[in-house]
This record gives sequence, structure tokens and C-alpha cells, in this order.
Amino acid sequence: MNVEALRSCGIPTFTEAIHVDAYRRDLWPRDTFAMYRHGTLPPAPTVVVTPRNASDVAHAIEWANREGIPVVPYGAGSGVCGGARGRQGSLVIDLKRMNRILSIHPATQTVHVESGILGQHLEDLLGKIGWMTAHSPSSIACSTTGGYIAARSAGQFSSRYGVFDDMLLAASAETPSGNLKAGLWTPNGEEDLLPILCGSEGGLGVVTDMLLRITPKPQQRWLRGFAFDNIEEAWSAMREIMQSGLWPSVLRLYDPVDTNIGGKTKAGDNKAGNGAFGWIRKTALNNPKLKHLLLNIPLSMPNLLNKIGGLLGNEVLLIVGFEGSLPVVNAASETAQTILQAGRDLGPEPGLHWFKHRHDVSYKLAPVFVGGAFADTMEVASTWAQLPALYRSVHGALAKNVAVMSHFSHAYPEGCSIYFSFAGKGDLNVYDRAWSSALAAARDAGGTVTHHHGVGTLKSVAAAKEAGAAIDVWYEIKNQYDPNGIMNPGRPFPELRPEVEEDTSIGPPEGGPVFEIDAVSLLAKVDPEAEPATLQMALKENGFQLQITPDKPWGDWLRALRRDAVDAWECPLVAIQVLTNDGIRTRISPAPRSAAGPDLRWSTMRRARVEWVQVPIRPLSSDTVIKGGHPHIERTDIRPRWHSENCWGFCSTQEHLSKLCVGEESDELEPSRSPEKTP
Amino acid sequence: MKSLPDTCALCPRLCRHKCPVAVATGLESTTPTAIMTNLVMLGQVADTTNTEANQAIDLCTRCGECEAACGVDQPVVDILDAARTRHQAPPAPWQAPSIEGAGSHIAIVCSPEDWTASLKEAVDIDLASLHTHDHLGELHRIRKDTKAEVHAALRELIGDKVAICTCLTCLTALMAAGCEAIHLASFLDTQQKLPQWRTCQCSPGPGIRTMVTCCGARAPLITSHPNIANMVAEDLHRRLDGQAVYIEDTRCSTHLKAVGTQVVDPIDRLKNMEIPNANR
Repeated sequence: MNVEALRSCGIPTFTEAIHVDAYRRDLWPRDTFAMYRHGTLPPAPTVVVTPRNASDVAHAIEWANREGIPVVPYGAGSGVCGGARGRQGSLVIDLKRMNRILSIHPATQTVHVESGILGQHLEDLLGKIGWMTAHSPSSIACSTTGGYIAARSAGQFSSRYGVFDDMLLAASAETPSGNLKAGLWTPNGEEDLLPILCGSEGGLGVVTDMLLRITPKPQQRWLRGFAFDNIEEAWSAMREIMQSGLWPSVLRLYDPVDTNIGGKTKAGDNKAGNGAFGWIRKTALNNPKLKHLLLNIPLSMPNLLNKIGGLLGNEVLLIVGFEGSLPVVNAASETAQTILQAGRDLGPEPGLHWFKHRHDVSYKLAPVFVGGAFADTMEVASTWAQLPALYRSVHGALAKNVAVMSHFSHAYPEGCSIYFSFAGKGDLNVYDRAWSSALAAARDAGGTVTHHHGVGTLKSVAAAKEAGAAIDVWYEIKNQYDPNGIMNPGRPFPELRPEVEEDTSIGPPEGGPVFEIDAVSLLAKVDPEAEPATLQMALKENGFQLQITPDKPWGDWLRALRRDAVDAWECPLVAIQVLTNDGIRTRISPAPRSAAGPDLRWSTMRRARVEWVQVPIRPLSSDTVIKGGHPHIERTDIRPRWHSENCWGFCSTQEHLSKLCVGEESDELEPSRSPEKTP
Repeated sequence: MKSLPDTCALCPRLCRHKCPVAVATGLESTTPTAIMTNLVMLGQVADTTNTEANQAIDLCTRCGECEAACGVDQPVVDILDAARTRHQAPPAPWQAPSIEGAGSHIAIVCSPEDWTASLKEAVDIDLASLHTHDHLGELHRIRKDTKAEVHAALRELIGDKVAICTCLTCLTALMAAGCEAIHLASFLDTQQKLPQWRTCQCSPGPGIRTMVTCCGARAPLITSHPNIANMVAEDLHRRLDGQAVYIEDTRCSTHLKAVGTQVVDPIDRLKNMEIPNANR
């Protein structure tokens, strides 16, 4: 390996053990568990480079391609699936020195930014001039924009602003076959590969810079907690809020166990730490030995622990948040409270407490690992109709091996994500068994195996299964841009194309032009060749209408769709069924917003015969949603807005940016404590 | 788990956005998490000859930014200092420098430039001088086993004189040792009223706004990993984008001047140099 040739390009290059060893692991808990339990770590790369610009990245990839060395792109290493874990003999391209905002365009509400900037730095800088991307994952202090693209990240306010996919308008990447421009930067006449680049986890190339949507910082933030007697009632309230077009920033529901354990943020009239759990916690905090025992003994008996958890009662806590301009927040929160009447209003405290402590969980893992146990999280998602089955299926699979609790966040009009937190004791077999059974359960229940953590090493095989026959699109494009297979091999999909089992239960659609209506998730499977007017008539007979009305048949409209043609939030397509050129019938995307590798729907639509598309609908009677007398607030005023036209005219803001880069941090908007008293 | 390296080793690097070294270099090895992971592994194998882990401990400037950002108040600097004492071989006994001349005040000269004559010219005082190349035994003072010995030596050396320093490392060392010490900038301000300037975080003062982050000019980083310290200064230089800055700490100003940043420091003020377009 001729490292000197790499060094001679002028890129800072590191081969010393002290530096390359730090790239052995990302935050995949399996590797952390192995480190603490067995003292073992994944392999170290051979060489690390820290490029300053896209040209450096191109040189490094060119060198690796020439040398036949695998490349692992590295952001801030906060991935929890092993997507950036060490690989023997590899080149790591650490992008964190590519951390500049290149330009900000208030007129078009976009920012052009490099891929190595930390999320927190980006928000701090934008915040100084009153803007934000609104992407706020719990890892915001330790993750990069490049990582957000790689793993298809989602922030804590995604119910209002969307996941990172929704904010991304264009990206540029360096690949072994040269530069790749995607999204709005796609060269004329070429296929837009942004959906493939997003979620590719470095498997195609290294994203160097991107164009993101930005939005004004909110004037007002409103947060409140509501207790419900059972989880089903809370699900209904969440769904109704999302489908009413109120666009809350936070909808966060804790299952009964999480509601009981979580203390201050949970139901129970804000009496923090009361009850048996509160007493045990307070006692244990003052006694390290007791704390150790309390952690380890129950984790050795997960079945019993989960059963006890099931006996704690059914009450659940839902945190609801709105943000935006004052009139919008007042109107939306007032309307939401009429929907939330089935629950008990706990006031602002649970919401404020969550907001204040929303990043704290990361500090709490040390005792678990040091005690020889492990903790991990799994995020799945499905449509609202499938959500109860998905919850019970994955919960049941995990509960056999580990202690588990969960919450529901990242809600959308068509569905929701479930976030399972679990802890267990034993060896790596216990960890692996818990994961394999949970992944299988998620797939069997019709959910996606990952909503926003990405695939990495952990879910590579499961994500490939989820892709079905559509995975051929990935290997075709991968072969085009990375013919030697050097880019992060095996991530997000296995290095060698897996055998695809044909799902014989999938048949050709019958009837039409509307094949199936999911009245719970407000989705319809429709004929992609049918005229929109025909579809509207067919839907009207069933009491529904299209959420988006294209000006041509869905198939043509979707194939020609530009990244900025719809609001970030308008999800025009949920699932598709296609017949591939090999005669295999397959379905893609169990919705909503899967992060199981790249979004294969769009490229598949261009390569196979589309049999149906699943699109959003709404009841015929749903036009007026603002209750409580807000004549000046229209339904369309509630949603976050982006200017969708003309995202091409860059303005030069270098002078402004240089001032930003050395100024003081902006203050974060604190939620209002008494929003109901705001005039 | 508070105060144990494990808490940092198991943290997803939530302070990395505040660490000047990690931000400037981008290198994972410089994050408190990576340094503490090395420490954990070092503790597991109990191998005090593990040079890699020992080198890793020194990838910190001891600026304390990580502690300020930490949600559980981990005393990172203390943990690393204790680890240094435990795992690194003690340095040779500290040789106290000698004082040249006599006077009621002693100029502590730690920068390449000797400013004693300029101060004598500007202000009429009896001034001795003390030249130090290691910032009054900085590497000895950050170790728990040799700190007291250096402090005692400093007390004996300075006696009842007033030390005038141009860098915070020397100033805080003398103050911690119980000596009377004053920064040159403060000393000049007592002589003539000068405008307050924006300065670096290393040396905030009354009316002085925080402006830039640490430039990496502190031991053990600059001693053990000068190339990394240089990357930190270069990154700051890039972010300043041609702006001139006033920096009160001559250790930092010397470091930044070396990478081409337009810097004015108290020694420049002393020499009545024309100040370029620094931001007031």
C-alpha cells in the first residue's frame, strides 16, 4: 500500500495507531458490549485522511480505487448499526474538516452546506440569522449532515418538519467513477439518483456537499402532556391529530412500561418519582451496590421483568407540541385539545421536562455496560393500520430475550414509528438472538426494519429482504459508480446480491382504478395509468378524495417529479407494486419513511412495470379542520412552508458567513411555560 | 458512574462540538470519548508501558470546554491528570529557572520575545526577569505527584516580589502557588487607560467578549502533539478569515502568529505598535 502517494496529494494522512484505532468502532452497542465484556474491538483501518474539500475526497477515492482498498466514509461516528465500524486494511475518509456553510439563500429558503458539519454547529450558525433546518436528532451534537444522508436520519420534530430526506434538495458526491450530482443538481437528461444516494451509507460514494431546505425559527413553542387510559385511545388521538393537518412538532407517546419508569416526564400528575419506581430509583441512586444489583438481577430474568411491567397498569403519557408563529400555534393547539379530550390534561410540565432532558438518555448507558449488560434501541415503522400488530409482534419477540419498553414518535399522516429501548444480560448470543427475532417480527408484521437509524452491519441482511426483488436496482447502480466494490463494502446491502425469494402471495391487482383503500392510514392503492379525474370519481364513491391531485396519471407524474415540486411534507407516494423485467412481482416500502437503505421506489419505477401506487387520500369532508373559531387561520397556514420555485440562483453571502463563524452562539427558544395565557 | 472514564467512553461524544481540538482536526482520536476509551482499555490490561494510550491522554489541551458542555459534569481534566500521574513515567525533577537582575517586580518571559527592556522603558519600575521555556513547569504541575514540589519552588523563587506575566499559564501557576502575580495587560491598564478589545476565550476579562475558541497552544497537547496543536491554530486562522484579533495571552498569540494570523498582544501594545484593523 503506497500511503506516500496519498500523502503527496497534500491531504492530512494518519497511519499512527493512536489515530487509526479511534476508528475501530462507531456507536453500535454490540461492539461496545464486546469491548466491555470481552475487551475486543473491531479491526482498525490502515489509514485515515481528513480532507478539506471535494477535490481531496476525489483524490483519496481515486487512490483507494487504484490500490484496491476498501473505503469507509466517517462522519461523527454516532451511528448505532455499525455502518462506519472498522474494517481491516481500509481507508477511512473522515469528513469533519469539511464543515463549512457555503451559502445561505433566505429568498429560496435553502442552505448549501458541506457534509462534515456537525448538526449542532449548523443549527447554531443558522440560528444567528433567524433560520434553522429544524433537523434535531438526539445525536445533534455528535452527528454530521453527511451522516444524516447516509442513514436517512429523522429529528425529534419530524412530525412537523419531516425527516432529513424531506429537507434534502440536492447533493454532490465523489465516487470511484467520478462526481455524482443528484436532486436539483442532476444534469439535464440524467436520472435523479438522490433517493439512491440518500441511505446508501457510503456504498456508492462520499457525499461532499448538499442543498437543504431551511425554515424560520419559530416564534412560539407549545408543549403539553396528556394521560390516556390505554394505548389504543392514545394512538387514535395521535392519528387524528396527524390526519387533521395540524402539523404538530412533537407527538410522543410512551407505552405503559415507559410511562411508569420515566418519572418526571410521564403521567401521574407531575408528581415526579412517586410510587414504587420512584422510591426504588431514589434509594438506588444513593447506593452504588444496590444500583448494580437492581440493574443486573432483573436483566437476567427478562421474561419476569416484562411480565411485571405488564402489570403496572395501562395508563400512557402523550406529549404534544406545536411551534411556529403565535397565531398558528394558538389555533393548532386549541384545535388539538378538542381531539385530545379523551385524555387527561397534565399541563405543560411533562412536555417541558422532556424538552429540557431530551438528550440526556445517552449519559445513562454507562452503568448498564460497565455492569456487563447491554442496552440498545430498535426503531420500526408502519402505517397506522398495521401499527398495533407491529408493536405487539416486535415487543413480543424482544420480550423473550431482553427487558423492553417503547415509545411512539415520528408520527405522520399515514403512519408512525415505534422506538423500542431494551436491555439484557448474557453474552453476544443473547444480543444477536434478540435482534434477529425482532427483525423477523417487524418484517412479518409488515413494518420496516428501520425508521431512522439506518442499516449498517446490523440490518444489512434484513434490509435486503425488505427490498425484495427491487434490490437489483441497487446492484445495477452500485456497479455503475463503484465497479470495483471498494465503497463501504457490505453496507447497506450485502456485498454479493442475496438470493431473492419470490413472494408468491403477491398477485396482479384486480379491479380498479382504485384497488384498495386503507381508511385508517388514509391511503389508496391506485392504477398508475388512470387519469386523476377517474380516480377522484372512484374515491368519491367511497367517501374519499386524493390528497394531492396530479395533472397527469400518477405513474407519469411521479416519474417526472422534481425534488422541489411538492412541499417537504406532502408525501406523494407510500408504496408501489411492480413487475420486474425478470417477471418477479414485488412491493416496496412498507411506509412510512423507511431508512432500510436507499429509497428504491423511484428508480424501480423507471425500470419495471408499475402495477399500483399507494398514495395519500383524505375524507371528502375534511376541508375545514380549524375548530374553535379562527377565521383568519386557514388549513394551509398551519403547515410549515418552503418556497419551492427557483432553488438555483445562489447568492453570495461569504461576508455574512465569515462573521457568523466567529460569533457567539444563539440562544435556543425555550418553550412557553404558560402558552394558554399568551394573547 | 460519575467521574469514571467509562461514562465518557460510553457517551456518544456529546461534547465533541465544543472540543476545540476535535472540531479543528476532525480526528476521532482527539475526542474525550476516544481518549477515555483508551484509558478504559489501559485500565483493563493494566499495562503502564502502553505508549499508545499514554500518547492519547496528551491529546487534550485541558481547556475544560467538554466539562462545560457535559450533561453529567464529568471532571474530564481531572480524570486525565490523574491518569497521567498513574500511567505515565514521572518526568525528571523540575529545574527552576534563575532570576536575572533585581527589583520589586519580576517579568516572567515565556514567549520568544524578551519584553523586559520595553516595559522598563514604558514604566519606571525596578524590574528583574525570569526566562522560562516550559511555562514554569507546566507538565510537572498538571501531575498530581509533582505539582506541590513545583509550587514550593515557585514560592521560594518569587518570594515577596510581584510577577508580571504575559500568558495565563504562567499567571495561574504563580497564583496557584500563592505568589503575587499580575498579567501584563492588567498591569498596563493600571498605568494608562486603554480600550478593551475582543479577545480569545483563554483570557476573558472585564468588558471583553468571548470571541474565538482555544487555539491549542497548551500543554500537554502542544508538547506531545505539536502537529495536532498546529492544526487547531490553522483551523482558527481559517475561521477568522483575515480578521485581525487582539489576544491577551502571548502563548496563544505566538501560536497564532506562527500560522499567519494577524494578532496583536500585550507585548505589541507595550511596544506601541500600530494595531491593524482589529475589531473593537
